[in-house]
Amino acid sequence: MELLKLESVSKNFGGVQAVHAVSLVQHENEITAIIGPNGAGKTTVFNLISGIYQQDSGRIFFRGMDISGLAPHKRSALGIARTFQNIRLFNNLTVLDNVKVSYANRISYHFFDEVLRSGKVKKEERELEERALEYLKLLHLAPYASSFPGSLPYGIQRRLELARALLPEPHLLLLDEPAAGLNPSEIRDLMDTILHLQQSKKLSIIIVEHHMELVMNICSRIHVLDFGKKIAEGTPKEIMEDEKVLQAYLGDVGEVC
Amino acid sequence: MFYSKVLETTLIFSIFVLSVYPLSGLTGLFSLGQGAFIAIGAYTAAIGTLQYKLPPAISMVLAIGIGILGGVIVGVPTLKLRRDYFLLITFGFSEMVRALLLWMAQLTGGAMGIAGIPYAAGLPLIAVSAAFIFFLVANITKSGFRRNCIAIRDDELAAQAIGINVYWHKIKVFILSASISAYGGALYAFNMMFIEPNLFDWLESAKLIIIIFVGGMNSLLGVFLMSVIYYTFGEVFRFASIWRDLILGVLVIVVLIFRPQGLFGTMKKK
Ligand SMILES: Nc1ncnc2c1ncn2[C@@H]1O[C@H](COP(=O)(O)OP(=O)(O)OP(=O)(O)O)[C@@H](O)[C@H]1O
Ligand SMILES: [Mg+2]
Repeated sequence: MELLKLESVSKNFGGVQAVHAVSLVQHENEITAIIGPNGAGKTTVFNLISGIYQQDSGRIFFRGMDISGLAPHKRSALGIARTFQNIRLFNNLTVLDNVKVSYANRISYHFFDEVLRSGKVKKEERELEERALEYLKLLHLAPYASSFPGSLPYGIQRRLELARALLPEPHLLLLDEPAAGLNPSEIRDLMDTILHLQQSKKLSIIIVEHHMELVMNICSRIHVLDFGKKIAEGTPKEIMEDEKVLQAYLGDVGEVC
Repeated sequence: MFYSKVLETTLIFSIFVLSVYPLSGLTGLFSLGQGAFIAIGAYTAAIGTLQYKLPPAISMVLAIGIGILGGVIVGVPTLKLRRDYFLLITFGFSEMVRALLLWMAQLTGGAMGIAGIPYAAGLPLIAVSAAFIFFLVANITKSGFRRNCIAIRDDELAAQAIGINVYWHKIKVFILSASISAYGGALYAFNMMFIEPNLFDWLESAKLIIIIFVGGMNSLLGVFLMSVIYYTFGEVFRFASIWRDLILGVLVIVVLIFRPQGLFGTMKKK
């Protein structure tokens, strides 16, 4: 089943063509990757899917519905969740509250229930607490529940962002460089976690990642971007042998060296 | 008698501080127009009773209603803007209300203000009001409302991405603050029995924010304590009111350097 579809989507930043006529399809319960050199437009694609930016042209469909004009919080309510390349946690909320806060869309008590702290609020908050603790356990974060995120090591912050994205039970999860800054053993754990999530939560996941071992091991299909354009799509094996992809990457390495 | 007067004044001003807490303390939105909502409440109450002969209780309800209306009118167009623009526009709003109060002299008494307002808010009503408002504000700091506010204060973009309707939540916060401010203003009018346009200017609004900052953005109790100390001190040592603001200024610097969580805040940061 088709979950997400981008139809020739473009985004311009004052002359910089960050994303140019990109089309892609993501199915339910699959793991794919978007790769490409620095500045290729990968994060911008995520920002367009999650509604942080509005595309200049093209359309985006989610579960058959045109979500092109929808605000980010509405896309989140439909089941699109994400993490950020440079971690964006709420530093004045505890670890536990950082997870709970992403349930905003699902809470059914109203402002007046809260002001008078009705039984409904207490009951729902109790259930939410249990649920949030489950996700903390799942990602081995339980010991940090009452800490503030700013004081925690990088790897733990990344897991917390993941827990926050997972709590509202999304259909589609967008991970922007989840392995960045992690050590090899943390990366192995991350791969296990991602595969486990796909199976246990029936999640569909798109990963933007420079870490090729992770991409090649767990993604069934890969999209390659270069200068905002999609230059290739295929299985890991096909991509490794693709002439254009090699050129894009070699060109990039050449520049760096 | 003197001490009961001190207590009344302190509690009324603490209601003002409580009204600003959800907006500035939790959500990090700085309004220099909160004094205007206090004035709107005070003038609605005074005009309602004196000119329209409404009973004080009805005038107070009316004050809250007009406060909410004002909150909608100011909040809907401005809360979409960046925080710095919001601050400037609420400042403009505050000056506009003051100018209107001066200009509509037939209704408001202009620069002379309104005297002879009936004394309808004594210590019992004020104390019960302060306790009840503290209870309401404390309640919203226990559930999703607080989480959404702090998320918006910390990172608006991430807050949107995880599903918070940032604009709508800010409107709710702003209207809540406006309505409590207006109610506090009505209490003020019925307690002091005299009001004039310059009582609640933008400086007064700024002071409310500073008290919250010094007391501790994440600690409602700390903010309330700070407010009680500040206003009691001001009333008891009237002659030394310059010293009070000097001490407040020094405290701001001390907090900035040594206790970013506020004097009474308990939060550990980074
Ligand atoms: N908000 C913005 N304003 C202006 N230019 C932007 C903005 N966001 C992205 N860009 C530009 O768009 C291009 C693509 O950026 P993007 O962040 O999507 O790349 P990326 O593929 O995620 O790169 P990286 O691997 O370094 O994260 C870059 O040239 C970048 O400078
Ligand atoms: Mg990026």
